[in-house]
Amino acid sequence: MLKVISLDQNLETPVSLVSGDYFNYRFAYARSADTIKSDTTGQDALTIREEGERIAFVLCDGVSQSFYGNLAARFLAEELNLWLWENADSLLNSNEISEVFAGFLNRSTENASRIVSSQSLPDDVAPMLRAVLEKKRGLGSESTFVAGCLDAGRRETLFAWMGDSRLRIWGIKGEIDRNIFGIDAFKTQERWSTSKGLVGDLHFIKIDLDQIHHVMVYSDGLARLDAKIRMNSPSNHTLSQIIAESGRLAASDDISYLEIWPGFFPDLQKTSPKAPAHLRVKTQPNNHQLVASWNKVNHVDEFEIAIHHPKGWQLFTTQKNSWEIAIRSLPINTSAVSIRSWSDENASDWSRTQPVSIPDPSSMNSTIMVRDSGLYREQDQSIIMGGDIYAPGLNRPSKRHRSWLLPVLVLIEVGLICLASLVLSVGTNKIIPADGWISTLLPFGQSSPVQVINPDSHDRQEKKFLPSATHISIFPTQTGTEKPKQIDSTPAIQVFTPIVSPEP
Amino acid sequence: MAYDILATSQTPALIIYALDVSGSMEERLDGRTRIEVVMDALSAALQQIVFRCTKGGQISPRYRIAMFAYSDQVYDILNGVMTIDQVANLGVPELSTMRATNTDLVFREVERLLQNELPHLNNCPAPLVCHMTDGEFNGADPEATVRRIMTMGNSDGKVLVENIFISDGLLNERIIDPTNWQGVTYNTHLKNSYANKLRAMSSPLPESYRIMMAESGYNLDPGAVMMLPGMSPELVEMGFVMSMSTPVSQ
Repeated sequence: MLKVISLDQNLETPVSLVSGDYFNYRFAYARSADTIKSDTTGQDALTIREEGERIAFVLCDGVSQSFYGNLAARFLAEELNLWLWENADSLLNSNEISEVFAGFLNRSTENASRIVSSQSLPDDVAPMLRAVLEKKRGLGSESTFVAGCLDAGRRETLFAWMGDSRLRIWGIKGEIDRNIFGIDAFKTQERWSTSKGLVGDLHFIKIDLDQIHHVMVYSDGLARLDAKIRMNSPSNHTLSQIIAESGRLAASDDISYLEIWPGFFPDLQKTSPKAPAHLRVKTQPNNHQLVASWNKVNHVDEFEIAIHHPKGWQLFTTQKNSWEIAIRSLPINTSAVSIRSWSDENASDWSRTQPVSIPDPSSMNSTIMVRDSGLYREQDQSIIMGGDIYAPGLNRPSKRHRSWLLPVLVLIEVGLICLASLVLSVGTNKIIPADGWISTLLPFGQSSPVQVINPDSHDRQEKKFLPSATHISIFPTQTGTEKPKQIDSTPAIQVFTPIVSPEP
Repeated sequence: MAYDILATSQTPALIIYALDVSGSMEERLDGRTRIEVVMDALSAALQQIVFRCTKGGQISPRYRIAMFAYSDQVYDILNGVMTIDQVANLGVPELSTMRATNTDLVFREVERLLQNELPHLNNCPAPLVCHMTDGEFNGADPEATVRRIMTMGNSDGKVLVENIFISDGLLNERIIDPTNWQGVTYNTHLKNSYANKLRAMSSPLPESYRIMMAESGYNLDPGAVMMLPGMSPELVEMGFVMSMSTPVSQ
């Protein structure tokens, strides 16, 4: 009985297995994270026809920067699949497959263009977006594709493709596609267009079915499989995991997947490796590193670490049972870590998620930019004296940092006062010009405090301390007649308006 | 390779525009005022960004935009940083010319914005500052500020600084077809001393940007710098295309 499977572009299709009359196959479909969030149509498409000893498929990946790439993908998946099915014998007999194929694809633009012309735009589209969409409409809708026909009766197969969706073919001894058509045969720039037909080169190949152990086809949304799967078919569990977590990664894209085995069904329920146990995660404030470690797992090829953050995940790999990373390299608001094992191209479950607490990235900077005489310069944050720090655009250090700063600040102030008393043994103020700031060393015991004013902005609400060990820089008021006014009540340092102008 | 992180909705690219709206921008360039040429080119660039971000009928927020107009003061046109879908809903702002050209002031504002933003841009493309001017600065020399900006960066690379200088006769030859022009390199003879200064304040063109520009039809040399002589509306437009040439997924 003829089976026609055309996956819905508006829904996720979990990994699904079909045992056919001769061919066995599985497929899956998932939209990108952005597409699911906006509940719109995915731009991949997959259509399969299968009956008796023949199966034909077309897998398409619509070009997102074309006009509604899903239109070209859906049109091609269905029309090319039907044409391939109806013309399989003549194609397999033909020595001019390329010309025949190209002829069909170029002729199809007429019907496809009608579909593009009749696509309506949402009423509430902003004018700029509407202008862009109409410009795209004029250029047409585009899609890559991989098409194939396998015939067990004739013991022949035919594959054709344009673009960077993957066609991978395994023989008995391993993957053979790279030996047959090289690694540069899949080019992003090549695609089919509803307005232009072929854009770039059409590729095709005929292979005896007896050379084929299994065939795997997927769109570039599953590009992670390129490196993860080399020898075997992934278990259903591993494949489902990779598809699910692809939606959490930054480069999340629509996913379509098809795998075909001629005449047999492999073991897809392989035992997964053990998930790593006893995950321990800690931050090392001294060298600003996040360190994760876990119990050893035998017979593991590598471990994968997932960094969880509000926008998704970031994945890393290691072959050891520990891993560390500079905190500054982590995504903002990293919240948790989990790990899993990989063995023989199969993934374990993810470990228990370990929450982490990452400090505000601005407070992890070892230096901040401070204003000094109208110029910015870097300042080691660890010796800032406290109070309000003028560091434009940066947050205050967290209170957690202030708790250990306080005793340090007290010690520094005491040191300053002692030093000042040594320098000013005559008890008078000395003015030391310092690049636009007027510096005053407070004599020991003098009770007149000072207000710090930024000389560039003249903003008297800002208080500024140069964390030098030898002087505090101030800018006194003009008249010197203002009464002392408490500005800052930080216990370590009291700041007031001066009642006298310093002597030159 | 540096500057190869893709702009995605999870890792958006930040572009900061700093646009000179001094009085000299009322002068003519190929039959229109300079400010009109710039606004048309900016509009085309924003449309192109929307083009690259649109999937189906939705705009994916792969870019974040900040826009300062400056003369003797700095005006934050978008009131902070907006995602490209927000900018598309807002439309292209209208700018009118004013008086002087306090270039250092706008770059200090850019620096302040970058200090706010960079801690949150791990794993995002390196930010880009696109400065457009038509004349020499008044007030403080901006070069020190720009050089500090060029030392800032993230895991993708240092902040990129691009300068579009609208002026006549900057090069020995007239560029008739920008798509066949190799670009300004460090060895190109520039006939204006301020153009030389702007070139010193411009980043080298990253290879990934050069490849993206090739997809837009521009064939710049590998040694080109991010400085465009805005001697014609086509070159001004090319400058804005350069500003949005961050790699994105297709």
